[in-house]
Amino acid sequence: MSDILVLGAGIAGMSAALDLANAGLGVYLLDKEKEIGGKAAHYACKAGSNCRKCSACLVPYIKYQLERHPNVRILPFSLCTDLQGEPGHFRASVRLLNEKRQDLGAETTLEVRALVVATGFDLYDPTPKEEFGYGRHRNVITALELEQALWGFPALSAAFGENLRRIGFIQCVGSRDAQNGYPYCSRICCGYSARQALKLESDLPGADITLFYQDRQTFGKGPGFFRRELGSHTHIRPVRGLPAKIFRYPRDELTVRYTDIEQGQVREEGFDLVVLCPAVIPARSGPDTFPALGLERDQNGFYLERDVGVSSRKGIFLAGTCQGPKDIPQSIAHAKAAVGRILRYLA
Amino acid sequence: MPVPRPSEGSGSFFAVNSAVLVVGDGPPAEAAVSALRAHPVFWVGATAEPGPHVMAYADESVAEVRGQRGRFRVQLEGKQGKLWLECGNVVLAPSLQRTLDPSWHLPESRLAVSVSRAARLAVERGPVVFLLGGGETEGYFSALTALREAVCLAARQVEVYFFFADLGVSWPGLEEVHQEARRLGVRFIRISDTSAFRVAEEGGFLRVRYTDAYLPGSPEFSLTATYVFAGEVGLPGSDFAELARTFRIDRDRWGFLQSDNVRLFPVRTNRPGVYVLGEARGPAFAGEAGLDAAAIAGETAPFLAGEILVAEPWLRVDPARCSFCLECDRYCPAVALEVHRARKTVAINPLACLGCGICAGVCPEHAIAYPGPETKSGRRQGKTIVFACEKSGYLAAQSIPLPAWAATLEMIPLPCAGRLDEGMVLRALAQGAVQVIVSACREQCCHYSSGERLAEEKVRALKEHLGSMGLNPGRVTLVRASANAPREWLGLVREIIAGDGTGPGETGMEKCAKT
Ligand code: SF4
Ligand code: SF4
Ligand code: SF4
Ligand code: SF4
Repeated sequence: MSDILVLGAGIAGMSAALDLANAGLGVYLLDKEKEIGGKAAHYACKAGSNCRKCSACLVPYIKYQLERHPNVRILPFSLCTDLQGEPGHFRASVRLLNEKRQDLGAETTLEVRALVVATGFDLYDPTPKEEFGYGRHRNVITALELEQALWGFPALSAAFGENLRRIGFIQCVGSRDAQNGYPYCSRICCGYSARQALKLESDLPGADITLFYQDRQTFGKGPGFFRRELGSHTHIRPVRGLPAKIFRYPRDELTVRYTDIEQGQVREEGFDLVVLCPAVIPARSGPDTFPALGLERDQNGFYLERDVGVSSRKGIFLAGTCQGPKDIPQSIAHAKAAVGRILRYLA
Repeated sequence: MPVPRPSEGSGSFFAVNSAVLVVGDGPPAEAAVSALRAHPVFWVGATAEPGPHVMAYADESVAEVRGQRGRFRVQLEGKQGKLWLECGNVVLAPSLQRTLDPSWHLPESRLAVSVSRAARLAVERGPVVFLLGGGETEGYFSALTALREAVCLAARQVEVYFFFADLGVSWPGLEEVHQEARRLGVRFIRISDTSAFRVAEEGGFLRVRYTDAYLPGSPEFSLTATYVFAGEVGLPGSDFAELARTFRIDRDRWGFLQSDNVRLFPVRTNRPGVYVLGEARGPAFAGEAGLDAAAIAGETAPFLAGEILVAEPWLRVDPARCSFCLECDRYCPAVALEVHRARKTVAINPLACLGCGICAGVCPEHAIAYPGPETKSGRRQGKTIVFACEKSGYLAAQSIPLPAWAATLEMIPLPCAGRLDEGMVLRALAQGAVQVIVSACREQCCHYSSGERLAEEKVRALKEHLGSMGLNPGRVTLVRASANAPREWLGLVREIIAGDGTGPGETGMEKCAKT
């Protein structure tokens, strides 16, 4: 019997697995994808002349260590379908998938003493927000799509066209929106949109970048991340206020209509690329992802925690964004908290 | 140095002290003490009622620190004299010095006070005005208290106006409190310019005036308020510098107790076994200290067993070669060297050592051996040797299929680019290598705080050295790219290889400096 099964190999699951393994426990690290790393595995480096402190480059090294760790068994392309037994002695059914993520029918049972749920988050699908035309207009994309294009292959221009001079970001898409989306603040998008803007500024000299936002949330070290990081960049323009609509008519270009709150005017402006920053939402459990495991959820659908890292069910611990939106350092902190709880629980 | 007990695998157990020293007198320290309830805790600066696991030292302060992670020896100084404590880990949790956010230009008045006082005042009637997120603070510092107080007042039918520039609502549940406040009739007014805001005391009330400079012709807003509650800002006080000196840890440019390096986020310092949390490490919501404290409890939990397994190989100093020059101690990012001045010896503490190999690279006597592939011999005719940091460039190169032109590359991983020593590069060139590339982390993102800067210095010195020998200094070049930037890494390397042989000079570095 191994000690721990970690469900989900994103940043939180990977850090929990590594810390547990370093503490001498045997760990199964399971993920439905071929490669471990989760969403953050293809986040780009946002450094210009300096590192911009996005933390994304931590992922490859944690992965590198896990792949060589004698206490870790990585189970890629796997689904946990069921959990039996009692705290201290769980039996988890695991099924294997193929490259197309179809069930191969092979099933094994893992016996473990405790479970870490690190199943991460989903991104809100902006399609229902018809005013933005996501899925209808070319070059209206999500920040995750941009992140992957910045990561490398194909290059930005191959993905979105040669002529990228006017780029807009729309923040809070589906967040802070109790009527048509989710009521909470997603916590991460203010920071990543600013960093992506800075990256685009250095990758696409001369491009003009507009950030449509409501409030700037706190990021990074030191006071005033936004004023400090964006203040002196003449090609990045923060505009307070979220756009009402994106359309392609009558001019054949993405036209964004917005109210500039500070100027009190309705404006229309053309863009070559519009990046939506969708809400961080609870990952949906189900037959193709992971079992619900009988864990209680909070009013927003994230897993409820009794104490930091402790789920509603004995012997099952929580790490990362399955408990609520978090950036990379916060996910790591949460994973470490869960590790502390497990070590004390098993002692 | 502690005496190791060999384990069955490759590594040894070291006896460690499970006690934790917590330094600080505010809510962050309280969070730490409570999260560490499984450990014996020494609490210097104790304010709250400590639990049974706590020894409180309310009037003492830390005078001196010796030893390393696993076994720190800390001297306290107080009215009763001095005493020594032993602990395995340390948590630094000082509070920031808070002042009213100066960007609102409030008058001296007992009616215009900080948000944190709102709960303690019996407010009978309104209108009450809240001012938040005006300056550099993005409103995080007092947002929790301000929004909750606004809800309480509004629920009691008190008229509330809430002026803000940025509303920090990213703490879990806070946006919901904000929405609740709106439902209860709190009037939220977003302003663009705090300098156009005026508050003055007039006969037992406060007169609040505001004209929106950006909206030409907009009327002046004016009201008479019973109270004005403004947000606070916090800055590191002199105790931060004092703690950093005593514990030999780096601070960031604002004075917080953690350098601005993602490898340390959220709770580590450059020194293993010394942790920081909440507002001591940077801007944080009040509740964030709780998450950080739980994370620290995760880092210290393995110490509860009383011994720690440290995997081999660990580095050792050869006493026969060591000349006690202390270069290793000067450059070690982790303060991992135990220096015995009387005996004139140094030793590397395996519990504190991060394994970067920087000491091995700077030791003029080659007294520290770092086993690794860099010592390989062989013929390198026509090759480009890349000494690549194992945390950045090496991983970037591994993450993608390399194009055909890259066949001439020979990748040699180093634990850190700062581990490089002159000998390695000169040996590679002597073996026939056309080019040597040193691949380091991005600026301010080194796994070991200063390794990338050290690598840059060494490459500069090597270029001079090659020049003075009549060789082309362009044959050794530094590039910087992080592990998740394979395209950039490949581009930089290609540019160097494509050079015409007279040497691309500083191409790599210039490229980085430009972007
Ligand atoms: S910008 Fe992000 S990915 Fe790039 S070096 Fe800094 S933390 Fe790493
Ligand atoms: S982090 Fe910023 S962009 Fe994201 S939901 Fe919160 S306020 Fe909106
Ligand atoms: S750098 Fe080398 S010679 Fe100098 S003190 Fe350290 S081990 Fe001894
Ligand atoms: S290997 Fe690095 S951390 Fe260890 S003693 Fe040497 S310089 Fe310090």
